[in-house]
Amino acid sequence: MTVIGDPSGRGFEQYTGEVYGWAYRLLGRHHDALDVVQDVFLRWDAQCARQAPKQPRGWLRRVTLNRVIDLRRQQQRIAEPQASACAESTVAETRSPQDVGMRIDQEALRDDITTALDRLSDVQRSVIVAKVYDDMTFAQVAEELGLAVSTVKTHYLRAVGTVRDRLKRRWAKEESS
Amino acid sequence: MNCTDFEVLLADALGDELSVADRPAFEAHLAECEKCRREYETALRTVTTMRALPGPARATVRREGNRLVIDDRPPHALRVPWWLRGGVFRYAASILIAFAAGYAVHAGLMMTEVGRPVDRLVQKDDGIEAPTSPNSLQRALVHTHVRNPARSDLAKCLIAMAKPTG
Ligand SMILES: [Zn+2]
Repeated sequence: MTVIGDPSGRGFEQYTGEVYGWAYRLLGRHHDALDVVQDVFLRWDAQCARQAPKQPRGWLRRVTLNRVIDLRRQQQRIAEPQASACAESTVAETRSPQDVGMRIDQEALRDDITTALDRLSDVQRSVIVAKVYDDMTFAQVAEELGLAVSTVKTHYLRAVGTVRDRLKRRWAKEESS
Repeated sequence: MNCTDFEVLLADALGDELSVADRPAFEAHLAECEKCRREYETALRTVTTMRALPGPARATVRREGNRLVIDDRPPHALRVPWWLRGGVFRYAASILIAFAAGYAVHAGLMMTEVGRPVDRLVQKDDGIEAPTSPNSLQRALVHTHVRNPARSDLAKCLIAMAKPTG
């Protein structure tokens, strides 16, 4: 159980589960995800003190993804971790070698996906996450971002293409082994 | 349908929004054009792979007075192993629970002003795992008896490395 301060009645509460969810999915570690929630909450507070975001969910998705990418970069810079070391904190809770192998593989996959997301613009990143993880329609994403539906589709295809280029290396390795 | 028209429908297809009216033409082009078929298959595989990353069980958030509380247990944290579920092991389980409760109280006492437990430096086989945000790192260093991180070169260096670039 973690208490993250006073939301000052500005509505952060209703989105916390989503912020945590985006961060957890891409970071894979509970405490990293919580760090992001806390950080995003502070930024949200600061933003609301100036002006409340018109599209809170869109704002939070963008800021959260940026923080996730920053955190990944910091971690890579500090530790240059091996995939096995990355997965270590979760290994203690696992039971079988297959389980451990799966977690290490997921960690490597997270690395590939976040590295690809890092290459995208804020908008492209938001679009692909909204489509893939939030199951939003193109029309909903377009409204949230204030863009034309056709523009959102173009961003989506570019984003998928960038992630695919990164994953292709992994697929080639999988197929050769 | 040519390859350019196909591109237009590709986003719809990948986004699960291909209309019933467009589907036959889309599928006909898939069947006859190898290049577009590869494009579609690899893009679909990309989306499926991204979706396969497990998310958390939805975190439960509630308000207590003017504080925000997240029930943030990882999905698998509290699963009780079969050998602790009953019979002669109940006694052992109750001791464990007592220890856990003690730890929880201890951890609760160590909550910081922003409500995060004090982070630690953890010795691992291949190095030291450190918190990544400057503030938690600062707390971790104090906790690890670097009494004044501002005066330790190593600590300053670590904190500088943890500082966000942007
Ligand atoms: Zn074609």
